[in-house]
Amino acid sequence: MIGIVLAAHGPLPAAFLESTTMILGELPQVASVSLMPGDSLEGLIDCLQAAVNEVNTGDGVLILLDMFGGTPANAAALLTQQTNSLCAVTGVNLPMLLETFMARMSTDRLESLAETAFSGGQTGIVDIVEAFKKFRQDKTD
Amino acid sequence: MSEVVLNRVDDRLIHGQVMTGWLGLRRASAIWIADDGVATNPMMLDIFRFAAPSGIKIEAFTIDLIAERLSGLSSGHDRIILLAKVPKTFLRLLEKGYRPPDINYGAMAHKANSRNVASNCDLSAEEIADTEKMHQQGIRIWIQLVPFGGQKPMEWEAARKKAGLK
Repeated sequence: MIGIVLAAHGPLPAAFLESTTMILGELPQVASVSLMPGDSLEGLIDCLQAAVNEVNTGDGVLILLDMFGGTPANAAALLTQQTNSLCAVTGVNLPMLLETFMARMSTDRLESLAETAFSGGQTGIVDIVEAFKKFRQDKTD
Repeated sequence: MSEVVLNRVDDRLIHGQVMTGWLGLRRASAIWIADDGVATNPMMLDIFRFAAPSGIKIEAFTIDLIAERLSGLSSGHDRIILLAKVPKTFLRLLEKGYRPPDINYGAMAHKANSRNVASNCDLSAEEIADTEKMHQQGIRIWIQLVPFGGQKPMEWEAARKKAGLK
């Protein structure tokens, strides 16, 4: 099974995992890495590498990150260039996590899981007022 | 003529919204990283270029080379953020004749025997000594991670007491 690592600023990764577990139940082969005040880029690269190793059983690892350009994402970008079978997607949100963990049960293709994470995260972002306006318009059309 | 619009020490160098904020506030067009490690690691430099806001020129120089570049600013048209991982870099540049009016400190990681002098800013004994040397030479040192939100700059005058100096 593909391993999943969550990496983000502060307590986000653990909290995201807690919320995901609340909905999906216990999740195997998952690790979280937090960048806390006082952590360095080099330290984070080491932690991220250790987390990747921990959850990798040979099918590769998908790293989900909070913010493009942030230190966790920069560290992940570096690792993806040094290691094979590693994918990374930024902008993690709960829809992305749910879609990804559910899709992981039926695929061993890392690239395809990364695509699921990407699209799941994007479609999870909705401007409700705008969407509702469109919904009502479609109904009257 | 190029000019340095912000001198900054931040051991995470370029990271996310933090640098975006300073780039906007100082209307900077370029970031020069003064760091022997990054200057000799093309992959690391690539990651920073990849992750930076578009349109910002990012270069990395060894300390020897950047001293040279800083003495030839009249030839370019850039508004530069000069970025180093440690205070020692600016101290060495000072010895080489580059004298900034002020230096901003951002995120500094916790290290063995470091002291927390401000939120997100931990300095080792060596870093404290280097900072104090620059302070004694009349360079204003101020600590501020991000230029937005409720954060106000903390002057070294206040921070140095937390660093254990009298």
